[in-house]
Amino acid sequence: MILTEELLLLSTVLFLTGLLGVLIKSSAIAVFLCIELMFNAANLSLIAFASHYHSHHGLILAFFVVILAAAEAVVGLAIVLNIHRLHKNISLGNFSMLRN
Amino acid sequence: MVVFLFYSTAFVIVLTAVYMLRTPSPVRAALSLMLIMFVLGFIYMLLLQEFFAAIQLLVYAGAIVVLFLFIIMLLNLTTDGVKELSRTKIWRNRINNTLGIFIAAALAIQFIPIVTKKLPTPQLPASATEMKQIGRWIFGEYLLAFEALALVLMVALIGIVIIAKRQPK
Repeated sequence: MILTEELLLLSTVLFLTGLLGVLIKSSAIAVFLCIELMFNAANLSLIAFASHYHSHHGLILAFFVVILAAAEAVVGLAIVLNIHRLHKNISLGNFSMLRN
Repeated sequence: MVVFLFYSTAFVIVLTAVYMLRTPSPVRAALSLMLIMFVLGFIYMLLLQEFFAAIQLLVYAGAIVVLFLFIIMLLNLTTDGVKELSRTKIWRNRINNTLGIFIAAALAIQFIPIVTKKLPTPQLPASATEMKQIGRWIFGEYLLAFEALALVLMVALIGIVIIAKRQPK
């Protein structure tokens, strides 16, 4: 029997690792990978609560989160591709051009 | 047995996540993310959530990470994008890293009371959810959300075609 508290602890550690990556990485691809890690941490806690309370809401919500993560990854990677076409470099400083 | 498997997989996940943060090579970072996805799928199997384990393997490890690898190899990214930096940039990076660690630590302190709170013990033992039942929930109770997500996917599809086709000046 896996304790839900331990799953939540694992999920917290994963989320904080992803957050740290988003804050300190300078390459756009690395930041996207860390965002996916954070999505996974959120999903892990949703599934943990769903199996703790025998409720299906968490399960369905996690399923929807996966779909949204896929859409987000595709759109983000298309933007990264275009930035690379312009600057030959995907460091996050180049993304300031998205402002105008 | 299940507890032992869970602890060993959790250990692997944390180690791989730290490696993903430390490695300068994007390909290695993407592959370690794929390993994390696989092992998380294993944890979902331990929790008897077979449906979500399959979704995790098919969509995350099979589609999203492969897309990341495709983009990394298409753009031929070998390092982190950080080449020889000037002195001011190195200092800016250091300040940025310290600030990031402080923010993450502050959030970690916020998380402590949530994680250490004892949950009520479940009345029923863990049980697998039937596929048929999941289909009923998605297409019955959550039908509106499902349709909205279909719309979101459609918008994302149109959006990437527009972004990718536009020629930069």
